[in-house]
Amino acid sequence: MAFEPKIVGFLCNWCSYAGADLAGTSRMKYAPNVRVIRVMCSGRVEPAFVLKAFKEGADGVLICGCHPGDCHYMEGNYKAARRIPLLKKMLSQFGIEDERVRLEWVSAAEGDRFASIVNDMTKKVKELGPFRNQS
Amino acid sequence: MKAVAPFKEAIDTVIEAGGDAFKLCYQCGVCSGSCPWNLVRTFLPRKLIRETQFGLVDLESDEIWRCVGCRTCVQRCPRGVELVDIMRAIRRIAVEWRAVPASLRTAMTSMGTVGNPWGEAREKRADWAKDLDVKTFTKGTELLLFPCCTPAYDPRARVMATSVVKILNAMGADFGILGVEESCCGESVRKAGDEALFQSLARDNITAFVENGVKKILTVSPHCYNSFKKEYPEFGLEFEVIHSTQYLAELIEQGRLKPTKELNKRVAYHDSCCLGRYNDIYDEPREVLKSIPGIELVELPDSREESLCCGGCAGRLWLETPKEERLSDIRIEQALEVGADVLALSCPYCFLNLEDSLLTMGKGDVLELKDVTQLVVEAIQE
Amino acid sequence: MAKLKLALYWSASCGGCDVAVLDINEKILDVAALADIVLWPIALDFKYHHVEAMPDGAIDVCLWNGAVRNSEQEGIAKLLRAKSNAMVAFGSCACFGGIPALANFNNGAQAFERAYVEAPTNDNSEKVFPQTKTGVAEGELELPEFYDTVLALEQVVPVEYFMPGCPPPVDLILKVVDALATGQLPPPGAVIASEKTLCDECDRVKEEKKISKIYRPHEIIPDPERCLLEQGLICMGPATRGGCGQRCILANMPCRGCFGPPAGVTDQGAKMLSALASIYEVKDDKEIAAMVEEVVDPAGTFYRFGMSTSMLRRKRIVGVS
Repeated sequence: MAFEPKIVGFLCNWCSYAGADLAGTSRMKYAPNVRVIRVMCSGRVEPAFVLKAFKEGADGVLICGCHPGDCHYMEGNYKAARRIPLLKKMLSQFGIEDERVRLEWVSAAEGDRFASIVNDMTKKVKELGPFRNQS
Repeated sequence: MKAVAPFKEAIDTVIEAGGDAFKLCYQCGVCSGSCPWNLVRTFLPRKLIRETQFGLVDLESDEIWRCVGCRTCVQRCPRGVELVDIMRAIRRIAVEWRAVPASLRTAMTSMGTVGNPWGEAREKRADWAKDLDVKTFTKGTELLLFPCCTPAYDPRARVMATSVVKILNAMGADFGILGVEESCCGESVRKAGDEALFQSLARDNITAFVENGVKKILTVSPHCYNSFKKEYPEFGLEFEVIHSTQYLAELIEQGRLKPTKELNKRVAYHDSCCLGRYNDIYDEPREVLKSIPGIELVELPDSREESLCCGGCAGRLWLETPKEERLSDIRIEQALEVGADVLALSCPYCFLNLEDSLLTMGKGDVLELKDVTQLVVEAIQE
Repeated sequence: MAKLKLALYWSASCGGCDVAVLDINEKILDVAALADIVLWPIALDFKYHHVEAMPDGAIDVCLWNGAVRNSEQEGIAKLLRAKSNAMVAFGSCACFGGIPALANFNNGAQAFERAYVEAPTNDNSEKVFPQTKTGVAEGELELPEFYDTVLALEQVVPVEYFMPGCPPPVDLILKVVDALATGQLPPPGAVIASEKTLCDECDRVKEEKKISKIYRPHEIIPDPERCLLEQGLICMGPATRGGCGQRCILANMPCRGCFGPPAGVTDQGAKMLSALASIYEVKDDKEIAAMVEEVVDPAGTFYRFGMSTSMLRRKRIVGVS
């Protein structure tokens, strides 16, 4: 059976979760590989969440938030914007490829964008293969 | 499988060459953290010492010629390791194996044949003074003025020597120069590893000094000062040595010299490594500058014991440094940052290096380089 | 009261923890009065077979310092666990993996390649490596198996108490000696340190946590009164357990995190990364990229002492299931 990546998606309640919801209500067809976890804000996403996702068997982690300037809590997505790139630099030291963690800004109106992000990420993680961490 | 280190023969060679200080090093890395080269590139003195401890130094590498002998590392080393001596020892071995970079070799050859690193004729050594009121030193003359090869031959640095002459004459001092009888003090080539050349230059100079009954020497360059004061006693003779800034400080303190003309300049003083870290002379040049009316003395960042080397010591003056890696460029920037009109100097090598930087950076119209003695001369009413 | 039986063992570590025990100076005599030391490889001549001959539970307390990275160390850990009533993970290596656990960015094969082939002080063109079994004329010689991953003590055997620190400070060691003497040991699972972070213990003036540049420790001489993190140095204080006496802070150096994560935190490195990114107040992509550049070695900085007990524990070995 071909490898189907398991991708954990942290979506912020106000913009990106709504955007994903829109993709659904619009009956868009897209890859089923993302398991969505709704958080109130992308700024809630701690690096520890990403690590735990990998530890528990995820092959990739997607974090979506509001576009810069549109965060419902004003500054939250800026924190995510800083944490995730630094985390990715550190993860590369752990041998975790750049494409396995992805931060995207998705607004409530961008159902199609959400679908295309999921499709793209699924394709890229599939190419990378399973995560299978050695512990 | 066998261990190739410690490579005893190589280690013994370094010890014989005078580098046994490496035995004290416990590899803490303070030297690597302190070395000013790391402002512009990577240079790890600690690593070089480690390689020396194993006897694994690569004599063909550029890194052994990197050290400028500024002594920042030695000053901070918790074990008092004389790193500059270790660098010197490694270079001594390189010189013996003839693995010296070409441009440096030219300067060394020149010193050996004509007694100065600039390839200029020995006969012209006293030409800088021919239109000045300077006599030849003879037995009985009180003070020997040693101008240093650089002011003697280089028109840009000449003002350092001519300024000292003006002061000496104003004081009515009994002084003279040895002219063609003197040779380079050899301080920089000794640090660059040519021990044999240094010894021969020293012997020539000491012979000239002794034959002419020299007792007290006034130097223009801190390098000559260091060499005569600290290194020439190894040959069994000691002379009283004084640097121009010390001489001026003495005169001013005794009230014999009073600068009266207002210069109205913001002056930053650059501590030269040989005067500062090597000989703890920090206050005298500052006292001299402060005595000049209208001068606002400001401190550069990295001053006194922390002074940033211009990059010219230990033979580095004769080795090419690419534009992005010049410490003297950083020094000019620092002088501009503190809003200095004048950067005051006390060393001919600093003068050459910093002037090069000033010109290549195009800042010649906003910042002037002046020797401390030169400023004093400007401030004495004729 | 009969004398306690005390064992100390030195596993994968630098030996500083044994020196720390000796740093209690004349109080070592109190320890000698209180307990018979039945194993202490650095100081006394007892052998493994002496321990093997003891009944289970004969040792009251075993102070184990060092991480576990080979089969001998794992074996002795299990032996001492069986013979001891209480195992104490003594020092950061035993508690979290410590500095040796930074080897988890490589594996055994890479470590051997570096040590035996690449090291400039060796000439090993035949690529000879140590073997677990080697036959010689006199018989068979054995060496322990070298593991790919460095482990903390609790990842090998159950542990009752944790004494963090690189090494644990003298006053905390004396606290344990005292507890042993009076029979008043804390409940199992306790960490003999503070329950709060280092920031709580730190005396410096803390104003607003807002930085726009990170400095490496050699780049500035920090103000001794102000919070180091606020001055742009990466101080692990917010993500590190307190109780060490703020020794590094008093020396005007930022905390390195040797006391491990504070109470309630699993992964120290992730917490610190999060905190640092939170206070670095920039917004546009270029500035964020510059910030990422300024943290020269995130993994080594944030997981300096805690690789073994971190969530990922080690660098991925790709292609091995």
